[in-house]
Parts: sequence; C-alpha cells; structure tokens
Amino acid sequence: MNADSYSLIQAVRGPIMLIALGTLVAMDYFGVRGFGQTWPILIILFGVLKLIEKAVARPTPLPPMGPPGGNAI
Amino acid sequence: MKRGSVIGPLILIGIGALFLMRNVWPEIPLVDIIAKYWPFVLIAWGGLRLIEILMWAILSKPIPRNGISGGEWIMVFLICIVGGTMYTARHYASWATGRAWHDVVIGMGDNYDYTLNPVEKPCAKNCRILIENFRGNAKITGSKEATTVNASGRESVRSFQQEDADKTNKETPLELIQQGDQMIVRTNQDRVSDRTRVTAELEITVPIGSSIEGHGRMGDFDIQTVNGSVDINSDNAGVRLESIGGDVRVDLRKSDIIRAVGVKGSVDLKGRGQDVELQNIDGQVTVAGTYTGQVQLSNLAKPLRWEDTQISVNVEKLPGQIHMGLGEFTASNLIGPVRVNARSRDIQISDFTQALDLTLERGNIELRPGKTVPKIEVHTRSGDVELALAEGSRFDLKASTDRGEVHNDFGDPLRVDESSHGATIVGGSGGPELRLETGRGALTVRKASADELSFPNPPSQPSSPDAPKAPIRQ
Repeated sequence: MNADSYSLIQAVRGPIMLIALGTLVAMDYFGVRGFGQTWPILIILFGVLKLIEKAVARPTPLPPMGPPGGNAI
Repeated sequence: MKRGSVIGPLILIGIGALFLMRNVWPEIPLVDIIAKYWPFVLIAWGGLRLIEILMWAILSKPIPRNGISGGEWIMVFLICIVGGTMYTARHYASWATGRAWHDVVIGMGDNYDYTLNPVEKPCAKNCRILIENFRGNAKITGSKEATTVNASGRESVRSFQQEDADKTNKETPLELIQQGDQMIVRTNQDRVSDRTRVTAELEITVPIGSSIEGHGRMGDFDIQTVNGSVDINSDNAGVRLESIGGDVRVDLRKSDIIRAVGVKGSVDLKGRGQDVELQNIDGQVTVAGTYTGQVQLSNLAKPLRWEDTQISVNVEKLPGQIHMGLGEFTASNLIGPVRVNARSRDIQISDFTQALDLTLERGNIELRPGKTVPKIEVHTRSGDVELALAEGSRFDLKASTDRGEVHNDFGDPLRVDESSHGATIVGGSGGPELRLETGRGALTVRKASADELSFPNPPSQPSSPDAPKAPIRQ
C-alpha cells in the first residue's frame, strides 16, 4: 500500500510541476503576475511534493531491516 | 515494457492540425496565437499525464518511476525556449536588447510612485510640440483659452530600494524646452540606466492650434481637440485621437488599438497592431500594415486605400461603413469604384455604386447592390456567390461556376445553362455588365427584398454611436 502510494506520488510529481510551470508562464502572458515574481512557487511546490513523498515513504524501509541483533543465529 | 501513453500521438495530431489550419485559414495569425498560448500545451500535457497515472493507479497497472521522463523534460525545455522566444519576438521591439531577461530582473523590484513637478511655458498659437521618446501614457488636450503648454503627471520607478528610486526620480525631472519653434516635452528617462524602469503618466494641455509629434517606447497616446497635425511613432502604443484639425500619421510596431474620431485632415497608418477604428474622417485614409483585430471604418469623405498582407481595399468614399474581422469583411453604403482583393474572406457588400471589382482566392460572397446596379466583376477560386438584385433593375449578367449548383431565383430574363462542365446563369435587359465567376461553389441570383433595399445599414452592423457634426454624405 505504502509502496504503491509512494510510487504514485513520485510519478505524479513531474506532471504537477509541468502544470505549475505552464500556469505561471500563462499568468505572466495574461498579465496576472509576472513570472519574474512567481517563479519561487516552483521551488516551493517541488519541496512540498518531496516532503509528501518522504512522509509516505518513511514507514516502508523500516520493517525489512529487522531488529539489529535479536533473532540472529 | 513500453507503456502506451496518449501524449505522443496527441502531439502529432496537434502539429498536424496546426499545419492544416495554416493551409486552410491562412489569415489566422497562427504565430501570434502559438506565441501567446503555448504554456497551455504544458498544462494540457501535465494534466493528461496526471489523469493517465491516476488511471493506471486505479486499474492497478504498474506506475512508471517518473511521471515525466528525462527525455520529456528536455522536450519541455525546448518548448519553453522556442515558445518564450516567439513570445518575446512578438511582444518586444527588439529581442537583441535582451529585454526578456531584463524584464525578469526588473520584475523583481518594487514600484515607487512620485508626482512630477508641473511645468509651464508660453507657446505661440501654432505651437509644435514634440514629446520625446518615453515610456508611459500621455494625455494631450487642446484648449482654446490656453496660451501656454502645461505638463504635469506622475512617475513610477521600479527598483529594489527606495534610495535608488528616489535618486532615479531626481534624475528624471519633467522639462519643457523651447528649441526654435518647437516645444519639447522631455521626461529624461534616458538618463537612468536601462536596468531601472521608469514610466510616466503625463497630462499635457496645449493651445488648440498646436501640432503634436509623439515618440514613445511603450504606452498610450490620448489626444483631443488640437487643430494641427498629429504624428505618433512608437514601439508599442494604443492611440486614441479625437477632433484633430490636421493630418494624422501613426506608425507603430505594435498596438492594441488605434482609434481616430473626427479628423479634418488625412489619416495615414503604418505598422502592426490589432484593432483599428476610424470614424468621420474628412481626408484620405491610407493604411499599410498588418492589423489582426477588429477593424471598423465609417463615414470617410475621401478615398480609402487599405493594403495589408491579407486584404486590399480601395473605395472612393465611404458614407456607410466597413467592418473587417477574422476572415470576414462586411461593408455597406460605399461609393465606388470599389476594389477588394483578398486571399481568404467571407465577403458581404451592400449598397455600392459606380463599379465593384472583387477578387478572392477563397470565401463566400454576398452582394446586394442598391437600386441602380453598377458594373460588377467578381472572381473567386472557391466559394459560394450570392447576388441580390432589385426587381426591374437593368443589367447584363453572366455568372458561371466550374463546379457547383446554380439557382436562378430572379426569374426572367435570366436563364440557366447547365453543361457537363459547370453551369452558368446568363441574361439581362441591357445595362451594366455583371460578371461573376467561381471555381467551385454554388451560384445564386435572387430578387432583393424590400427591406434589403432600404439602406444604409444592414441589420447585422452595429450603428455608430454619435452622428457626424458636418454631413459628409455627398
């Protein structure tokens, strides 16, 4: 489940960045806000998506590692 | 395993459709459209891919590791470069000045506003006023009482720091300089470096007899009630003129609108732009340029010469009006000889005199001459032709289509001749020659109804708001 949503978030990141990029450029062209002002949104968005990715991914890698020295024979 | 995405085929379809559009409707300013709307391709691409991935997730198909692969990002990068370059080339006078990047840098500062110190200087009755190269809007009004030139306004400086802006404001005072018989309005914007953007909003009052010459880089000119000539030259401007006594010359690299209402002299337009609106012009109107928006011409007392890449129009006098939009041309109440030459247009002309010479490559034609039928010569390679004639009018008609149907709804004395190669309608009662030719399309000759003959305005035309002061109709 987690692995699934992890890869989903990861896959979705590209398209979302692309939509954001297109929207910001279009906003510039239509005089809403200049791209010169709005470009940091792209960085923030990338950061947020990475964060979500991490939040979803964290539990997954833990179980396979197993306890450090318990049941080893 | 290569998963099938719909994006690739869609891009191919899109490119094909664009080329097809260019071939079928050459008058659509495709380059302008692409230059402005390409970001939506990115949005659509992202949106479609998002939907795809969600679908795959719901259908429990394997999801790709990256939503957009490295190669695709390179493609996006290329689209951005090409689209951005096209946009810049369309929207700025010179890309070579690097204005695009300059705008990004300048765009990051803040706006600081200042009031410019008003200036005033006496000027003779026939004062010549030169507004020097500046960025911003100017409103110029002629006044009967005024014996001086009076300029005031506001200035806006874009800068990162207040001190820089203050300094810039000090360096760019508004000045009036007498030079020979010329009064120069100077904003001194060229004193500051190109990295700071200064714009001004000027209000200038001048004696009514003045003539105006304006040079601008970007911004509108709004000129009212001057009896001299007006000469505007700008990289990017909207120009609005009202009650001008002399000749008008407007030369723009780009404009959203050129409007002139009530000009006693001639009007001469050059360059590129969108909308054009000319009304109540007493002198000759000459237009040589590319105007892609809505064009509305009405009440022109002298000849009209319109030449652009898509259409050329010659009319001796225009008591009525002409409207040109994307792919259409509607005109009513023209005094000829009228000559129209266009690549691809739907043409509708009603109530014209003297003679009509109409040549089209493609487009439907609808003609409704007035009660007396003038000489008409029409050629189109492809398109329907419809001619409505008043009952009992005298003419000598020969109309032919190489491929298409003919309809004779006029009746006698016209007769239809359908041979293996096309068809013709021939006949008449002696009178002006009417020659209609279409390569492919239907041909209709019918009787004009009573309300079609009650001119001047066909119902589809918007009526002009204010009546001309002097009756110009001959």
